[in-house]
Amino acid sequence: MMGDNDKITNGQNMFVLIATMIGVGILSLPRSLVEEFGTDGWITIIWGGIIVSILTIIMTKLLQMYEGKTMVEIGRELVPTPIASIISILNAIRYIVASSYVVRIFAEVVKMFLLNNTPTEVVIISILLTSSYLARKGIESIGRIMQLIIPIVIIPLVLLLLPIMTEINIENALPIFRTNILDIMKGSRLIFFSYLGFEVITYTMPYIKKSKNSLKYSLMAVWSVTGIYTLTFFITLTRFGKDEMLHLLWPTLSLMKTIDIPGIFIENVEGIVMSLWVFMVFATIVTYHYFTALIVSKVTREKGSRHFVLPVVPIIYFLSLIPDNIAITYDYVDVFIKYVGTFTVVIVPIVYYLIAIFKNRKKTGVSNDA
Amino acid sequence: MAKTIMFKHLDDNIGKIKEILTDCDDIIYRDFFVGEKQQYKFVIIYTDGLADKSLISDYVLESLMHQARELPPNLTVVKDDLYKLVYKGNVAITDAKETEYIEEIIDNVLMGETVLLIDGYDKALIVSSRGWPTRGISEPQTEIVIRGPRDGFVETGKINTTLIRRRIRDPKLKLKTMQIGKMSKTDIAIMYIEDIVDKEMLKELNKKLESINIDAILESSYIEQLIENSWWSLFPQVESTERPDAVAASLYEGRIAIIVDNTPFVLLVPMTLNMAMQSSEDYYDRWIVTATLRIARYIAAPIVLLLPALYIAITSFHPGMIPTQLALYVASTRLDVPFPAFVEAIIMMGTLELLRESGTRISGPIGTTIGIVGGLIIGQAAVEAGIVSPLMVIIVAITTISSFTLPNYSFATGLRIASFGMMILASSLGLYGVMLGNILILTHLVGLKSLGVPYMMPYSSVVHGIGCMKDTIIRAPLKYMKKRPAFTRSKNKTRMR
Repeated sequence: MMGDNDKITNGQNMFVLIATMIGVGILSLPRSLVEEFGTDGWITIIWGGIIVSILTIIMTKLLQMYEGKTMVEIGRELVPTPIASIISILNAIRYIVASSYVVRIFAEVVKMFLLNNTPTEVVIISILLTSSYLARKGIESIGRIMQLIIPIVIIPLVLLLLPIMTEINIENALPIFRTNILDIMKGSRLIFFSYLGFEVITYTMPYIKKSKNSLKYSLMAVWSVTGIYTLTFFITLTRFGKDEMLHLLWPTLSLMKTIDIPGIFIENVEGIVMSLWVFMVFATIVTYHYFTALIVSKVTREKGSRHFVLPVVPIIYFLSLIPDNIAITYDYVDVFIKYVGTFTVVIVPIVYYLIAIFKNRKKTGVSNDA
Repeated sequence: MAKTIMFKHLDDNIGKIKEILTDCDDIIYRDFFVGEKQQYKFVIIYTDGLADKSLISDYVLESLMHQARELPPNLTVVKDDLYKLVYKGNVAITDAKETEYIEEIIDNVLMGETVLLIDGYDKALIVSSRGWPTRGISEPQTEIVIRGPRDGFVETGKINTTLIRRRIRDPKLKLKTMQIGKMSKTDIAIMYIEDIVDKEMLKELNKKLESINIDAILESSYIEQLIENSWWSLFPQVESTERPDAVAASLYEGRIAIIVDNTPFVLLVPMTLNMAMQSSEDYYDRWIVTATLRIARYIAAPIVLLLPALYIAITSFHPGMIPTQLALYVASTRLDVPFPAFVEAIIMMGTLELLRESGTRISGPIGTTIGIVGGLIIGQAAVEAGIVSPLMVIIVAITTISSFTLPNYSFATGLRIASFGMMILASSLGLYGVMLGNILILTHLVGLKSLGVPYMMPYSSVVHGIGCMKDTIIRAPLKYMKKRPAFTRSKNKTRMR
């Protein structure tokens, strides 16, 4: 074959990042923010955007030092191989857990809104098999499909939000700046997990054409997500008000339910929204799925991630069926993702970066002496 | 293939040729004598019907038998090289070449050339005399336009390349010929504009064409199927057209045309999804008209794929999605229908496929009858008999009409077949199943490549910002389309200043 096999463009990478970041978190995010920070939740979102941007810059710098290598291979160069492998595998496990969580929530939402009588298992297995089909095709197809799907989802959703604008009550967003800055900083952990997924840049980087410009696009992805989160939070808050929101499990979906476009053929917009949302969740699941397979293939030094895609399916399937209900799902994943996520996404890249700088300095020092 | 060198004696040569061409009664051997004293024996061989007889009589036989006698050649020259004299001085035909091999003689005779053998020489003269009855240039049957040239390709490759050459009067337009097919020896011509086409792409295409090892190429679709990457795909990865103006426009974009002898369908590579939505008339009409029609086609394609599936999903899973009045109406019409929506849809779509097929096979007045009987009477009767609901008939009709708006026939057929899969998904998983089906089709489409070019370009990979969208869902005014499309990877990007 010729040309750009297994290469994605910067734009496609941006959409991959957006797809991975926005998952099912956006459904419950406004409620959990209101619970902790009241009307000041949007400050937290922006604060989270800043933290994530800094981390993205660090990761990009680290990856640009080792061109053509993923985080797995860089780890092997910086720390002893067993430790690097354990860290990478830990991240793969986190992806598996995260995707089983996404899949479970997804299945619950689909059951609630679209298919009341279909067993959860059928929904889960069908979306997993669909995602395997794409994940087996590799990063190139994933990049392309993200570039197609994300605009298809985002543009109609924003258009659908327009009729709501007449119903919002700005007063609901007041008062602002009531929360202590220190509290907001402490609460950044909560928002940080809504941004998780941006770290896939550490695996996509070697596949990007003209990866020198990639930082700009990665930051654009982070800030698009910040924008989408802020908009969602603001509209749900002004539409429902602080008190009502505390009682909504998925305020974002409830918001979509209230859309009423006069004169449109489709009476019930939530069907459309749910259909578009299937795209969005699929995008998240497929990236987790693919990067799990990619990490495993890199750790085992096997060429090509294709063969690792299908074996992951039963693991995700069984993990997603363990919790009895949604509340338990949220609890049990929170703990795992919080600790492992902080470790692999925040601590590891920073440590790697410091070691890399130290090693490079040593190297250049030696060469200067000679 | 081993080649047999010719013999000195004419009789040996003729014997050998007749041995190979046993039981081929359409091969004509005409022997005659030339020279003042009729001392030189000549033979011409040609295939009856493939060679132009009057051409041979007037310019080969006449000049050799008659004129050569009137102007007796210098004896010394004749003694030295009669062959050369005949070649250079007597045969008054523009295109002639020589050969030393028996096999080459036979190949050329079977192609319609006339071969001239002279006693005493181990060389033969091949005189170009191809001429057989051809269809005149007429309007193409499939891609009809209201505004635009009316000429279409015919079954003769040479005429087709001429039609293209007439539109590109530039030395940069290259034409490379080859023969594919061990037995059919079909002439294939590859045309491209040298400084626009991407060299890598050309190399890839040549490699693919050279690797073809088949006994016969009967139509260009043989080539199409053999050079496609994903031959199991529902969607065509090579464009075929009957219109010379479409080919010329594509060559100017940097694409490559493959002209196959014996078929009016010329292949164009690479192809993207966007090509399936373009018609050559798009560029001849005013841009607003075209832009509107393009949008209509981009709406029609999802209708073909999704409408029956959505009907099934909504009636059997989500009746709450449509306005209550309509939902009640649908329910009331479906009251008498004994089948589930899926069976109802399959019956109607299946009947329609049958109708379409019979209409294609039988055209003319009977075709119209089939349309009336099938469309009107069966539709009406089926509703009255309570087998299908009237809404289903409407949906099937809209789907069919939409499929005819798509300019690329094989792409539309692919969508129609995919819509059956969609119907199955919709009947088992409702709207969620339809979305899964969409994802599967999108996944398949982004994985497709035509000569290394992603099929979903430019939608799946925006290369030069929004600029590459100028000739996609809409067509921008000609003044704004200053660059060639990005997918051909042309080095020479500017087409207008």
